[in-house]
Amino acid sequence: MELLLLAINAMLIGNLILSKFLGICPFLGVSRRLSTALGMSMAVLFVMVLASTVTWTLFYTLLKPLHLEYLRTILFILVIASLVQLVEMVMQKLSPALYEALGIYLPLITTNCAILGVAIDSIEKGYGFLPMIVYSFFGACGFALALLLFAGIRERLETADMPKSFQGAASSLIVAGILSLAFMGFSGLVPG
Amino acid sequence: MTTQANPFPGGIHPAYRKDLTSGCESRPMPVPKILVIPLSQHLGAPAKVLVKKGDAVKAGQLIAEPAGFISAAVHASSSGKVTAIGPVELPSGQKGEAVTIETDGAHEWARMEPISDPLAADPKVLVERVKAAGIVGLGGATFPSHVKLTPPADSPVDWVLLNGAECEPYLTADHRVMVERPDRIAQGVKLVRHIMGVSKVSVGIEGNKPDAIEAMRKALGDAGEVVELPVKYPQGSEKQLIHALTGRRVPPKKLPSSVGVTVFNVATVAAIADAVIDGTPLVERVVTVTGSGVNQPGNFRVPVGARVLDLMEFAGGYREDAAQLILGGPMMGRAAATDDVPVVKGVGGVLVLSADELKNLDYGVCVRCGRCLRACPNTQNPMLLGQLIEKGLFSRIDEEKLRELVLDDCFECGSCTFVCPSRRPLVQFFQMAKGYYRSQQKRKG
Amino acid sequence: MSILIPILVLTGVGVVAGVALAYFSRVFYVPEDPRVDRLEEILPGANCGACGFAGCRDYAKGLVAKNGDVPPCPVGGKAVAEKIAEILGVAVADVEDQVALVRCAGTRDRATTRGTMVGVRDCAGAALLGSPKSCRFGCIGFGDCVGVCPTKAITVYGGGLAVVDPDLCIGCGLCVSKCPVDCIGMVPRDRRVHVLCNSRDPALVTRAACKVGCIACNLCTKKDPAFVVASNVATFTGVTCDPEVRFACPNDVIVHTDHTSVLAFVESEAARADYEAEKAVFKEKEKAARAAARPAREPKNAGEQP
Repeated sequence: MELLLLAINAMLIGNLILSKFLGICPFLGVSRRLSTALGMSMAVLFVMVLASTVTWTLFYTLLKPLHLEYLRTILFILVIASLVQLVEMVMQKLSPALYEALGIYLPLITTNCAILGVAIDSIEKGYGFLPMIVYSFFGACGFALALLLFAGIRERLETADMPKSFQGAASSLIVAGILSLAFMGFSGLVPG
Repeated sequence: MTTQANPFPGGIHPAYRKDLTSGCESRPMPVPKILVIPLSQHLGAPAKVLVKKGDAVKAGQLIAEPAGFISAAVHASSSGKVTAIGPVELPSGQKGEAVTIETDGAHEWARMEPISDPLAADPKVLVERVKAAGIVGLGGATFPSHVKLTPPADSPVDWVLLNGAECEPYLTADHRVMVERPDRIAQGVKLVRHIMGVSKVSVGIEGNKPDAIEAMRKALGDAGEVVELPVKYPQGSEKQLIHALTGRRVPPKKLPSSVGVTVFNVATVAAIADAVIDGTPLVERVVTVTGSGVNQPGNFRVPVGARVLDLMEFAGGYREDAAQLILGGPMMGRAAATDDVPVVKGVGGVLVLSADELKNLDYGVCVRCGRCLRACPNTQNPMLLGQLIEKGLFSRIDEEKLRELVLDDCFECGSCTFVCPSRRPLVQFFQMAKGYYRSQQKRKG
Repeated sequence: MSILIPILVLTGVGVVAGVALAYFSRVFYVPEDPRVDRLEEILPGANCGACGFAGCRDYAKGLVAKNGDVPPCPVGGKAVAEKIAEILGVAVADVEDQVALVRCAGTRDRATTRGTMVGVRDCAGAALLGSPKSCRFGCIGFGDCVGVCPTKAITVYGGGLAVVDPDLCIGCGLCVSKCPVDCIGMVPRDRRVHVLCNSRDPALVTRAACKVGCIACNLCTKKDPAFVVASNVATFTGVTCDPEVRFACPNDVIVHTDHTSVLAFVESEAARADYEAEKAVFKEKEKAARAAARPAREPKNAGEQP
């Protein structure tokens, strides 16, 4: 039950993009097409779970015993960046098809704050291993949900006639704001 | 013998305005001084010219032979002298080669030999005759009829349909043919049945022509059934008609023969009978001259190649407030820049609108009311497609496969444009897109 | 002392990550032809797709895969073709440096129109219904080509004609395939003489439709054999010619000039007036020369013929 609440919380109430405003860069950058948004979402899902697992392990096996908790940000950046590079290499060799599909999004993730945010968040909230996995997985799902919603809206916006000053980034930011407002409505889902 | 017609989705109910001319018996138009006979009055390759400048020709004489399988012969509509061969403006707005004949007024005929007892003749001989008579679909698409009569062996035809729907507002040419020459059409039906070896024949006529339905029922007898169609535009479109009469659906980009059906216009069938029984090639057709900008609206039997200005003179000329000339009907016809264009085999109507009938042509943005979605007979989304084309987002059309699904199947009936409250020129957008894809094709090939 | 621990930890993790990356990059090495990178570097990088590939990198891959046996890069021209040949070690394909040219001088006041196009202003759509101009080969002027040009080299000016700026044109040819009336053609960049007409109609039709149409009268070909008349329209095939040859044209469709004044030729009234003045001077001169030459040759007939 707790895990379910955690999942809902990670996906809807505490949506990475629309409540915590993490990962705005890909949110605005790769949301022009539904297809690219989907590719990005899948890549984020994969990397987020992987990175959280590795950083969590590293934190509890290396930093905690040495009382170096304050190093986590800088260390996580280092680890995540190398990890993504590694994954890219492995993928290119073992599964060229998957590399073609996700490959161009992976470098974008290297320094993605959503990934780092989730990794640090699960440490800060003191999650155990399983909650951490659930949190990162559904956090990524929330990311995907927001990204796909936004891409869908932008596709429609593209065909709309707007005053020149509203075209492009301006209308996108307004839509993002409205989406964020809408997601606030989820905060009533969980009591307390 | 009553069959219920299948309704098609979408469609519109424009003001038909057929009463202007539906009671007007078709009068023969006297042969004008000048006849301009284009070599390309049909779908397919332009015909190869056989005469040269200065030649004397007779009415019905072959002046150009088909250049290929999908092509049609062209005949002189009256006797006279060839004065020029060169490019002229066609009703489509394009320019094309044409033979100009100065008529001598004698109207001397040079008919082909009539085929006696055609129902005993070899079908191949009859098809040859249809080909030699230059008969094309008179509904407007001008597809050579001999091609339709010889369907490919892998898709045999078991059902022949006659299109008497004439759903286009204003036009009554087919209506008059059905009322005035039902027996000729019946003879034609028998010939087509004999040629194609088909026993099932259905005639679809919209319910707003009760006299035509009655005349056709009486003339056809057992030769075919007459089905009353609901009055809705575009009921006369080939695919919609096939669905209405047979319940079969023609897949996108496929010919009707792929579902075992062939459709002829009623006037085409009468022309086939003319060619076989009398030996008269297709040199004359019924044209409706109508609209509030015409002094004497009516139906006229016009020699092919007569210029619209001569025809208009015969119809009493333009009224003072005449503003726009349209060749064809108001929905699918084309606005003409000049009346110095010849009436060709595919022109069924000449419509002249007065100034106050021309709506303001400014258009606004799409308000996403969705009316066009309900009007589209192909159950497509003209709204989205129109916006994408207007913004030049062709990459998205390709991505979402809209081209295969929508554009290739759209026959530009204009229903979406008709219902649009923002007066968006959706059909023009689709034409633009078709032009775009044509230029793409050009680049590849 | 305690500061050393975090430093060591960070350095350690960094070294481990670095070694791991280095090791994996060797284990999972995917051989990619280094020529692809080198080729991509020398390509123009316009990503216009005129070569038929999706962008320059794709083109570079195609070049390597087929060992140069692909259509040349129309943007890069000769210089790039030579570099490509050097990298791939194959012979240089014959590429000419080209620019696009709108072969029409029929501005609104010179060419007659059939009617007014209402609704969507778009060349492709207009061409389906027949060009609004009487000449079916002339520039329609709704600017379809403007939209496809990757370098914004084309502008439709007040006279209703698209004009290509040769300094901006990279010769990709996208406008050529876009034009529904085939009015745009590719010409060598260094060509200085153009016949600004595309009408393949016979002389009578052309003349009726436009004041500045080529009627294939062959007067220019008599002056300079570099002019070639084919399918009712003349084309200049050389690089340059005597500037006075242009005055031979009865309909004034030959420009002899650098590219930018093609624009002046079709657009500027002043430039036209200059041209007329020059032509008048030339005609006077020619007349005088003829008058001077005639008595010497045939004194008897002097003054009989103009």
